[in-house]
Amino acid sequence: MTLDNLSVGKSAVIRTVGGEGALRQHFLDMGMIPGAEVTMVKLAPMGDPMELQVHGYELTIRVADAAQIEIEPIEQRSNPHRGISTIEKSEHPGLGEGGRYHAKGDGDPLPPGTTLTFALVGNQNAGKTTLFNQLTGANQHVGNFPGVTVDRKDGVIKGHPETLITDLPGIYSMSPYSSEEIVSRSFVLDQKPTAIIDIVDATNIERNLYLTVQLLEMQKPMVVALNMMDEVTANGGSVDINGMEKLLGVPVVPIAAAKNQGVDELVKHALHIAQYQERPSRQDFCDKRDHNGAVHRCLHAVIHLIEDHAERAGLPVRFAASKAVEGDRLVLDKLALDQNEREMLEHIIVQMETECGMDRAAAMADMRFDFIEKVCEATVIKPRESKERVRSERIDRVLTGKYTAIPCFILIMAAVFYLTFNVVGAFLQDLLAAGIQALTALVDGTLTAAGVSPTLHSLIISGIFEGVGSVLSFLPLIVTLFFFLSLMEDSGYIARVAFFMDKLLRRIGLSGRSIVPLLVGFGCTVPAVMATRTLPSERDRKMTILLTPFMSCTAKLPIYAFFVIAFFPRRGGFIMTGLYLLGVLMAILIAYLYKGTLFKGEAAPFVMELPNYRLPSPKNVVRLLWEKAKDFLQRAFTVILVATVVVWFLQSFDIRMNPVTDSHSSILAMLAGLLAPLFRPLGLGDWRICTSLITGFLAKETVVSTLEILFSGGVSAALTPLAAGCLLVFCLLYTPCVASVAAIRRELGGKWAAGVVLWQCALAWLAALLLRLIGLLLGVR
Amino acid sequence: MWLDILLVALIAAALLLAVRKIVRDRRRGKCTCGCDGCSGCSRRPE
Repeated sequence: MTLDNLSVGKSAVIRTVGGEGALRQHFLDMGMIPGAEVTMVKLAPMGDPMELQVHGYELTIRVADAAQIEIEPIEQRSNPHRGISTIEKSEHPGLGEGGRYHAKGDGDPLPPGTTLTFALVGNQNAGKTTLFNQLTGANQHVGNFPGVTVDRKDGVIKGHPETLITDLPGIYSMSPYSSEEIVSRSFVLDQKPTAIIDIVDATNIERNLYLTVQLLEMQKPMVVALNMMDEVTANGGSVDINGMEKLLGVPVVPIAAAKNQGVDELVKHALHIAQYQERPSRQDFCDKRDHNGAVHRCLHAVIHLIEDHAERAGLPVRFAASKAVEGDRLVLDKLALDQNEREMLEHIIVQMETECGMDRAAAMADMRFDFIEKVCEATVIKPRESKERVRSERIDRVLTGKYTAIPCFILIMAAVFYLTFNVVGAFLQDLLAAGIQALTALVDGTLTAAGVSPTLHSLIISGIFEGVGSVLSFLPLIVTLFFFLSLMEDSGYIARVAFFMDKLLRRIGLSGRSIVPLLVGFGCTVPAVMATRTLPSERDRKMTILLTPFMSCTAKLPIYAFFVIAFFPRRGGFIMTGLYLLGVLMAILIAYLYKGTLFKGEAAPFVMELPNYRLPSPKNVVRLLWEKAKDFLQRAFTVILVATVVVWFLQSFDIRMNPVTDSHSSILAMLAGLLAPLFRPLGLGDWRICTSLITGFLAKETVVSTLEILFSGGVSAALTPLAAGCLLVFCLLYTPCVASVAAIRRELGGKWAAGVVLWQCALAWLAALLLRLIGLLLGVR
Repeated sequence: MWLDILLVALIAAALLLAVRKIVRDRRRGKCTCGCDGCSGCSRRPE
C-alpha cells in the first residue's frame, strides 16, 4: 500500500521511500524515513496536496509524491511525540557567555579589529529577514510567504561596525540539491564566516532542528535563535532553554524577531562566540544503542578513514564523513580519496546498510531525527493549537474550499485588476499623465518663446518628454497593482493560491507559485517578470519569465481597440476575448514545448507551508511600494531615456544626417523599408507598418500613435481585414517592449533577453502567417 | 544660442549618467534598482 491511499485520521509505518535524487533526499530530509510513523491529517480542497504528521510535526506533500512511499497501516502510533509537561529548574550551561570554555577574560579572542562575519541560516519563513532587518536596521522586503529571500544580503549589526552579517536563502537541509542549499552551504564552507546564527521557528521546532543538527556538524561557532517564542508561550508552550543548550552544545536564545524581543541578548551571545571562536561542544549525534550502533560505528570508522583528506580539503571532518556516507558527490570529489579508500568507504557503508536495514541516505536522516526527537522530548512543552491557526482554518474553509477556492480567487483577481486598471490606478495614471502633459506644454511654450533650435526642441518635446513621459505615466498602475499584491502576499493569501493552483500548473511543468507572475502579466510584463523572484527554483523562474510575454498586457489593449473599431466593429468582444485566449493557449503549448526541451524535469517539489493569515503590516507594504517605484523610476531615466533618444534620432534624420520634414526619408523609414520584405508574406509589407512595429518595441501603445501619424488617410484604406487580423496576432505575440526586455535581461541576462526577442518575433511571424494561409484558404481577404 | 548649448550639455550629461549607470550595474552584476539585494536579485553569489 502506498501513502497516497492512507485515509484521513489513519496511521502507518513507512516501509520504503521511492523516487531518486533531489526528490528522494527531500523526502528523507523531511523525516519520511523507513520505520517512521505517519498519520494522515487532511487533504487539500482539490484533493492535492495532503497534510501528514510525521516526527511530531505537520508536513505537506503532493499526492503524486506520496504514491512513491510504501507504507504498512497500523492501528495506533507507538510514539506519540509528547514533550515535557513542566520545566525543572536546572543549571544554566552559560554557553556563549564566558566561563564555560574559559574564565572571563582568559579566552583566546580573535585579534582586535578583525571583522566578525556571521551567516544567518534557517528554514524558509522562519523569520530570517525580519531578524536581519532588526539586527542591521535594513529595509529588506519581508513576506508572509516562504522563499521571499532568493539571494544573500549583507549588512552590519547596529552599534557594531566591526561585524558583517549575511542573510542567506531559507533552506531545509544542507543537501546539495536545490540552488538555495548550494548557495548557503558554499557560503558556510567556502566563505568561512566567523560564526553562524541559526534561526529556528519555535512553533515548528522538530523540523527546523534538522538543519541545526547539520550546521552543528560544520564545527563553526554557532548560536541558535529560537524565534517566535512569543507565539509558543501565548499558546501554552515553552522550551527548557538550559536543557536544550546543554543537549545541543551551543548557546540557545529565545527571541521574537518581529517584536525585537531577545535580539540584544542574541547579539551579545553571537559576538561572544565569534570573538572567542567557541565551537559547538557536541557533534556526536549518533547513538550507540540505535540499530545496535550500526550508524554510530559506520560514521566513526569513516571519520578516521577520511580525517587527513578532510583536513587537506578544508572540510569539517564530521560534516565530511556524514556527507560521504550519504554519497554527496561534491564532498566526495573534494575529499579525493584513492581507490583503496573508496573501496573501504563503500564496504563500511554497505555493512551499515545491512545491519540497520536502511539505505545510506535514509540511515543518516534517521540518525538525525532520532537525536532531534530525544532533544524535543526532553526540553519542549508542546503548545496547543494557536488562535491564529484556528482563525486561519476558518478563513480557509471559504478561500480554499473545494467549491469556493477557484470562484473566490477569480473574484479577488477581478477586483484587483478592476481597481488597478479602471478605478484607482487609472485615476492616478490620468492625473500623472495630465501633469506630464501640462509640464510638456509648459516646457514646449518656454522653448518656443526662448527661440530654441527646432531640432533641439523636437528632441526635448517629441523625444524625451513624449517617450519617457508616456512610460512614466504607467508608474501609478504598477504601484497600485503592487499595493494590492503586497496586501495579498502579506495577509498569507498568495501562499494559498499557490497551494490550490499547484495541481493544475504542474501539468504544464510549472509549480503553483508561478500563477502569481502569470496573472500580473495581464497587467504589465515588467512587474510580472519582477514577481518571479519569489519562485524557489531557477528552472521554474526561467520558465515562468519566458511565458509572461504571452499574457496580453494592458499596453496592447489600445492596439486591439484601434483595429477592432477600424475593421471588426460588430465582432469587437469576440476578437478581444479571442486574442486573450490565444495568448493563454500559446503559453500552454509553449510550456509543453519547454517542458520537453529547454526545461526538462519536474517543477520543484512542493514544500511550502501555509502560514497563518495576518493583517498586512503598513510599514512592510509602504517599503515594498517604495522599492518598486524606485526601481521603475531608475529604469525610466536610464534604459528608457537612452532608447527614446535613439528612436527620436532615427526618426528625425536621414542617412546624411540632415533633419527630415517627412519621416518617409528618415533613417527609421529606411531601416523599416529593409524589414518590409520580411512582412510581405503576412500581407504587411508596408514600411509604415514596420515602422509602427519597431516603435512598438519602445512601448506597445506607440504602435497606434505611429499608425495614426503615418496613415493620415486612415489605416482601413491601406489594409485588408485579413491583414489587420494578422497584424493583431503579430502584435499579441511579438517581442515584449524595451522595458520588459530590460527586466528580462536583468533577471536572466543579456543572452536570454535577446533570445526572448528573437523567439517571440519568430513565433509571432509564424502564427500570423498561419492565420493568413487559413484565411486565404477560406477565401477571406 | 547660449540656451541651446546649455540644453545640449544638460541632455548629454543626463545620457552620459544613464549609460554610466547601466554599464556600472552590468559590470557589478547587480540589478538596476541600485540596492544591495532587493527582494530577490537573480544574481547569485559567485
